[in-house]
Amino acid sequence: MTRIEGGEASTSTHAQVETASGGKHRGGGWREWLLIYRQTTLRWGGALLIALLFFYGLDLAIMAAQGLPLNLNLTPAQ
Amino acid sequence: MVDPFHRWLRCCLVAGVALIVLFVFILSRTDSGIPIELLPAAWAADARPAAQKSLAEAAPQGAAAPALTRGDYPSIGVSSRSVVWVVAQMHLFFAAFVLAVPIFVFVIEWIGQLTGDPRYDDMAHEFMRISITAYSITALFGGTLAVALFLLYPGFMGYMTRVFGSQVLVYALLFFAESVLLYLYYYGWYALRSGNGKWVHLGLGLLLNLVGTTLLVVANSWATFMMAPSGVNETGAVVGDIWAIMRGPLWNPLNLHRFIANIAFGGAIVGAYAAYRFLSARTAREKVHYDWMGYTANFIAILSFLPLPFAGYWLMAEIYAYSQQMGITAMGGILAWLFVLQAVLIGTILLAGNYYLWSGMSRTEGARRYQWLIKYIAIVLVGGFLVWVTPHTLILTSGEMAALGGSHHRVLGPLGLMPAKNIAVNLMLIFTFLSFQIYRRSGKVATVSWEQAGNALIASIYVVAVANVVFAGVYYGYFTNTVYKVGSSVVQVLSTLTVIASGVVIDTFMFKNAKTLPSRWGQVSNRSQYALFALPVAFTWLMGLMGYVRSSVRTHWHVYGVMKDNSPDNFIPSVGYAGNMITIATVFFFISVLFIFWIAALGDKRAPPEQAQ
Repeated sequence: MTRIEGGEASTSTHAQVETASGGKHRGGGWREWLLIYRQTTLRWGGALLIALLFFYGLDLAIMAAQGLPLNLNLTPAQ
Repeated sequence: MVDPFHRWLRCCLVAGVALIVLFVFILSRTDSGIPIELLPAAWAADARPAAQKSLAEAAPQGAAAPALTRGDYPSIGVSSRSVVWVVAQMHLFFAAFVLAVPIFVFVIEWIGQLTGDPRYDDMAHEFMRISITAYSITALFGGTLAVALFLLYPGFMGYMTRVFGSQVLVYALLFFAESVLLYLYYYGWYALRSGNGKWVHLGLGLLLNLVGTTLLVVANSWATFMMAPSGVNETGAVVGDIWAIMRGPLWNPLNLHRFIANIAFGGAIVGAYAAYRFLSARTAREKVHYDWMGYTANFIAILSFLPLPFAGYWLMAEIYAYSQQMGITAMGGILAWLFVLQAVLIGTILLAGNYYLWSGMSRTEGARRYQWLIKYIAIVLVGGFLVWVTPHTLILTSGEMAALGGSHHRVLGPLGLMPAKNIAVNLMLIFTFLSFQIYRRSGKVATVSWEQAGNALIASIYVVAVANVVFAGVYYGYFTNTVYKVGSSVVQVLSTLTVIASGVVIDTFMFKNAKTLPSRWGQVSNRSQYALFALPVAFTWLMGLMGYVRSSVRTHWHVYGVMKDNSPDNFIPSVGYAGNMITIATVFFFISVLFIFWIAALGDKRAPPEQAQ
């Protein structure tokens, strides 16, 4: 975890919370911004991926339990 | 120290899981419900012979159902059905209330015992005080109903008594046990308040609820036998034991539906009591107490209400499975328009419940973080409400049809179909839960290191669940064949339940040692209290309306397909007439409820010191 404060990077969580969600960034160059964006993207991308995989699995399991394939090719299932 | 709310949620979760296991277990022993393939192997092995057993070929143990003539029904000058209708409805309203209140009172008392906070104990006792007055009225209406039924429908009641036999005596014994336990539970409250006495008291509460729920399911078996008889042959002669008669295909769906609905209804009624006391409070202390009580009641009502549409959906699916004609009568025939009225009432409940939560967010400064979300939740709720009330088939003149371009509107027509309703109801429930979640979060600041990751995960779950509900409804509902419509509705339900379960679990851990922001209890607007009055009115009218639908699907049968109704009222009454009857019962019920509130409030009044001396 990286803390952005006065252009310096250190290991902490709380300041990072401020920066990423509250917009309280107080300086730093594009490298720091890139770091924040990368972390935010990874966090949200990872969460979204987990949710997508979970719901895909859920759909697959529930429809299979009813004897129905997901049938995603827009054709009426037989 | 774990927050009491999270203890509450854990209790609800544990109780919910236990309930689901119990119902799956019961289902495994009945002919209805989930497929045997989905049951655990050990239960399925027991279930299979029961499911496959045919009672139709068994030897009859008694006479066939009597074929009644018009002369078998005594005439009293007014419609017998109307008399029984109002009395039965009143009995059901009160019975639902008095069976539900001890359930959540027991949970509240238990939380009070675990947390050591006496406020929970006081609130639980006050809830019981309302219930105890209502119990006497329930018994009065129950006795009146029994007299009215035996007097006005002697032939039918004779047959029912013969079919259910000694079970009627079991019911009477259960009622006696319920009365004894209820009075012990209420009047022993302070005597058993400390030490091991409290555990004895909690034990009494548990017993009371076990007996009360058994009463409920026994009475349900009479209603479901009339709709979908089992344990009798086609002539109505008994061919099975009492268990075979009780466990008809609609019994468990109705048990679940009524159990949940009763809790939601009971929560709404005590919420109205809290609002009544809040508005009439003279001191700040009273306002604080009744504000908190109203919040708790709304919490109980709406949280219990969230799974209710799914239980209702299961009941309707089982009605269709039992008799397609019966299902079509309910949802595609004369009664179909009542489901539009139902949508209006459920929309009222959700809007009122959400409005109360949004108003309550003014209690804490932390709510500002989430206020921007409210307008979007409101848009989804209103949008979902409008979709739900859109009818499919209109009664049109030829001119109107020509102006419309056909019998169905080109754009709005598809919104009248079930897939659109399923999307609407699921989104309304998801966003109502979101209101709950932001309300709970507004009073706290998380201190865990993974707060951002947790927020990202819960937000992603919301987004993907909403997309899944819309996708399953639109794609499977409109673009593939019919079998997928029903199949995808299960996916939608589980998506909604996933949001609720994951929201509870993630928030429980995220706010475990959270910083609590000060709450200004007692300073909520008076306007919000009227939402607490709207809830029970809508709930009561809704119960009356759907009870009329459930009963009317039997059409001209006392016991569907077995015993014909030949009374002068053997037809489905018009929607307008039914509306008047339901309104009369609702108004009468609320007059009685106001009387109960007044009596309960009298208990708080103390004699002036000089008189007391």
